[in-house]
Amino acid sequence: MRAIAQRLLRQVVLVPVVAVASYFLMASLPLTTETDAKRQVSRELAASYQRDLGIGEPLGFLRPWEKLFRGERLGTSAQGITGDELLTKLSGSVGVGLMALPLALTWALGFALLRTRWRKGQWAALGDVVPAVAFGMPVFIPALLLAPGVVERGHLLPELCAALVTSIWPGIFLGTLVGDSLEAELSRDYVRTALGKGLSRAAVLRRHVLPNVWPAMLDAVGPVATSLLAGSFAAERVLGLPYFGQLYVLAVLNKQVAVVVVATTTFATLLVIVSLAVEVLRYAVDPRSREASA
Amino acid sequence: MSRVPMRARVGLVLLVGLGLLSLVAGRLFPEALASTCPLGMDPTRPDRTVCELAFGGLWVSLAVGLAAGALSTFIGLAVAAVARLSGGAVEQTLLRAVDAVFALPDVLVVMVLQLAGQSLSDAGAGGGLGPFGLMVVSLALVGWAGPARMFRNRLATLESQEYVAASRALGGGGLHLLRVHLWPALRPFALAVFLSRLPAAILTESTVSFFGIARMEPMSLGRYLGTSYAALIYEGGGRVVLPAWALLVLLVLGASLASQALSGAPRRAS
Amino acid sequence: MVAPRARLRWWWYLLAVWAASCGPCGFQPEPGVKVVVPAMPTTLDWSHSDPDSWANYPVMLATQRGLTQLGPDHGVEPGLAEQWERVTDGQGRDVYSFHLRRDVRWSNGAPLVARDFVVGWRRALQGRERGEMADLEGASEALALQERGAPEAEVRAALERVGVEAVDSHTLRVTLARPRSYFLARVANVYLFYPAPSADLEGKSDEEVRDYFDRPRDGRPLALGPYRVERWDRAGERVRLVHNPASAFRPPMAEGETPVPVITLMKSEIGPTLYERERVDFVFVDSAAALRIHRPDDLRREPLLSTYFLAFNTEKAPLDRPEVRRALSRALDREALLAGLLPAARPSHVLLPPELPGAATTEQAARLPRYAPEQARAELAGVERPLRLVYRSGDGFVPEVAIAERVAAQLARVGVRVVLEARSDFSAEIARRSAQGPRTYDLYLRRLGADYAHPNTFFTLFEREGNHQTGWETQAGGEPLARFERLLEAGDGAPDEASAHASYVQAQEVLVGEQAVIAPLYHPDRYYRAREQLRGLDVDPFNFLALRALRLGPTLDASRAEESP
Repeated sequence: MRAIAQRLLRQVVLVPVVAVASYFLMASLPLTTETDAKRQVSRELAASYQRDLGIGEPLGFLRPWEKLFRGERLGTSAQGITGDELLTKLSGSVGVGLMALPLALTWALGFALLRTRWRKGQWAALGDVVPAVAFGMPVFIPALLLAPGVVERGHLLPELCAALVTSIWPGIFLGTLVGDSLEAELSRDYVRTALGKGLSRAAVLRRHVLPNVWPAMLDAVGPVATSLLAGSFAAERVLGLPYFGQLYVLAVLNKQVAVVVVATTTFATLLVIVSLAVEVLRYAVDPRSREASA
Repeated sequence: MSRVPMRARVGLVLLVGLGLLSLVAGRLFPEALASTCPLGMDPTRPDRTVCELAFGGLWVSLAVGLAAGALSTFIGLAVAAVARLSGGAVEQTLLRAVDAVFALPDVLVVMVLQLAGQSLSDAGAGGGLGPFGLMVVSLALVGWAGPARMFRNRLATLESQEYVAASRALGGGGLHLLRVHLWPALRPFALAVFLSRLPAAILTESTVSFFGIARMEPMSLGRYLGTSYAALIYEGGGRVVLPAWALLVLLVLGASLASQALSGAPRRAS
Repeated sequence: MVAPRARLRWWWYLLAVWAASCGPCGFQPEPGVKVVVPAMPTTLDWSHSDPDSWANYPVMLATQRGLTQLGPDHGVEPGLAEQWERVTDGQGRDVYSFHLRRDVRWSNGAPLVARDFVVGWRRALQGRERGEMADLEGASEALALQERGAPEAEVRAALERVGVEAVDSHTLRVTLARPRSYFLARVANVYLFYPAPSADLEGKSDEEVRDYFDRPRDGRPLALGPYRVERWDRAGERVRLVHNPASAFRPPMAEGETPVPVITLMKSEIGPTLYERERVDFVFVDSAAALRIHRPDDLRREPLLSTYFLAFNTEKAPLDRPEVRRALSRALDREALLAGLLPAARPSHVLLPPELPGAATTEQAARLPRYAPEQARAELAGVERPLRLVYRSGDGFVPEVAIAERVAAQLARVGVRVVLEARSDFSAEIARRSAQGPRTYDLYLRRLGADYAHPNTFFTLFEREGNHQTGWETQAGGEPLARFERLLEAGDGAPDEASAHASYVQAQEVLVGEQAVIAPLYHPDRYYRAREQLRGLDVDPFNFLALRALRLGPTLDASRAEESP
């Protein structure tokens, strides 16, 4: 049990680390209104910077959070946000992510199965080329190809497309991992025994092999969630979805530093929640992890 | 070099070939391409051909990728070496820091670093870094965590080998061990790690450029894709986007083949 | 242990519940007219404004009104004021008495009063574009105090003394420090001069007032025009305007036409494609790719009162010599610079566009530097240093990259090497000074657009206080600039149009000919597409998307209904 607690603690500690690091990075920016010759940022922006980051005050790094929980606006009146808006936008992105995750898992399983089949035949090279093509394709290219068909259509079509395009690379990546462990499992004795006893290939896969592959998949869910969310930045922009990724990109473009601090930390929190969920799931799915902690 | 596996050789040949091609086509004889490009002129820059811009972009992207990959591999190696040499609490702290950097997506952190860097250089405190330098530094600052973790694990494995234990028993110091015994064994792995950073850096750069946050000039492959993607939605615009994209895919294919074969381990998700 | 079949059923239930709960939470398209704009507003606060104000104009012009408005021929017509008197007082100041229309109401039904102007203009005098208000009596004092960072109370006292006062509820007296012939044209379009709803604003802190404008809710901010801002989704890059039935400025409705209940201004990376697929109703066609690859049949072109020019850093050798600058201007073949870039182009070597009332005649224009390559080559023989050309990198509607590359190629032909640098922080970059003093750029490219149809709007940029960054105030001890400003002064205060125009033409001569601070290149056009059913939707020569006369033709609803059964 202690090992698990330690692992959880390691994950959770990420949140304050990111919060403090992003705060101090932003607080050290020289956003001066005027030097001798030029005006760099507007007066309102500089004022919001002072106000929101509590520069020079003790415990100043708590200021953005304090304002957020009191429902006050962070950033300038024209470009800033309130906590409510942040949550609404976040829920949208999480929704897209939740759609993307099963898609990614589907790609992963499909690709892994295909690859084990290809390995024996003349298509072996595809096992390398498909991941390279998937990896080498910036999310905005498939998004743009789909965009004319779905933007402004509603009915969750843009969201589904965003989920689709963001899930391609993480899915294929997961597929290579699963494929590796699938191959390892398939070459084991118990598979041959089961096949020899007359079970169909599909039944062997479903009942015997896949349960042993789950842990490998769970290991990769963390990085996959990260890249799903990162991909959603570009997909949201192209597909006209007003969610968290858009909010983040615009906050950076408009130099809304307090929003950047809060949004980055929120993002990290989200990732920590995902990895906590993975730990719980692993505990449920993988008997080995229960034994290890016992 | 018979130890180098076939796949790695294909990947390396692809990489070097693309590098030479971009050098010849994009740098040395751009005029030749300008007059013979079968793909015609770029719609947004009617005085330039698609080939010229794509190969010029390839050159810049390779330069960014190589510089950022090398820098982040080096930082990762240094962090891993410090962690292993000092051990104990220092190592644990460093590992936590690595986890923190590793957990956030590259694109997000690069955006924040670009914001910081641009504000600094606006204030005249950028240390003379142009958009190119700024991009390389921010990519390196993001990319070191993965290599650091890989190097640290590989070092830990190597240290448990018998010849290292023997050398240590004979009184060899940490630095001596690192230099004489560990580094030679680590070299091919370092190359693999470096090659795995290359496509990640190039892709991150392209996404950040696409958002308009970084303005690389001359254009990188990613920025070229990012600025001319609009052509994709017009009839016949595919001839502009597809060649650049194909170059990007080939680059990634070469780097990942070589790195996989060299390290014998799968890549991480960016 | 649950049987596998049953477990599967549970999974389906979960999936169904999740899908059902998320149905309405997806992002739904808005009903009504959709207009794709190239940039979102930077603020909705018209009194405070922003230097990037061009993006705010569509919203401000649709929701607000000025004392006057411009007619189809750019002439001044009554707006919020039904009539006015102009007298010059004993001290040479211009005093206007505006009589406001009594039937004008804000969108909540409150009447428009003269105090609304006083409150709005005093705020504008503290806003980011306060320099635009400098013509008012006492404004220069208030501006100087703010530049100095004087205490709040002192600034407030100075603002009280500025020449705008409410004589009674419907009479506004405005005092200008000096006669300004352009003033009436200016108050029509420059939205800093629009009134602010004083009853709503008074008693609020500065931050609350900013939120009042920038965070629309509960029918606020109030509007006078035919539309009102209802929502601004920043992350979604959308502004939603709704019809304002209380407006005294209804669009002119013909038989069968109706006002548009909802207008959504939105930004999209793929606007032209969405237009093709009938999902949006108006789109600017700015991308050269769109204009070159596939030119649609319903493409419309609006020639702008605007000039794209090359500016010289007059403080750096060899550009500190007017003859070198003139020679560079002569080295540029404007026709070739634009050939093949756009469907049509108006190359030019003059600052004032020919359509502008009071532009130079052909003979007067002929005196300004124009393409003469042989002469230029001879004059530029001594220029050895490579020149650094800075231009704005981004997605404007001017093909800047192509023009910059061609400028470099053309100057290379006369032996001048040019290094190109695209900057996203363009304004900061051209203002940046080196440690030695002069600014660091050599040449920059920029577009200047008219805000109203008067030569003055083209010249203010180059005045001493203007944001021209060319350093020409240092040329010849400041004498040419002083002469230029005297000419403008004479033009602005001239009693009759002919002598005013003579002064402006002379001012142009000083700026473009004698001193050659800039080399004008061409007068840009704007391209756009709009559905035929949208009546009165227009881009005007000031590059403002005009929504104030927008109404629906009779066929739109019918065709929409057919599309979506």
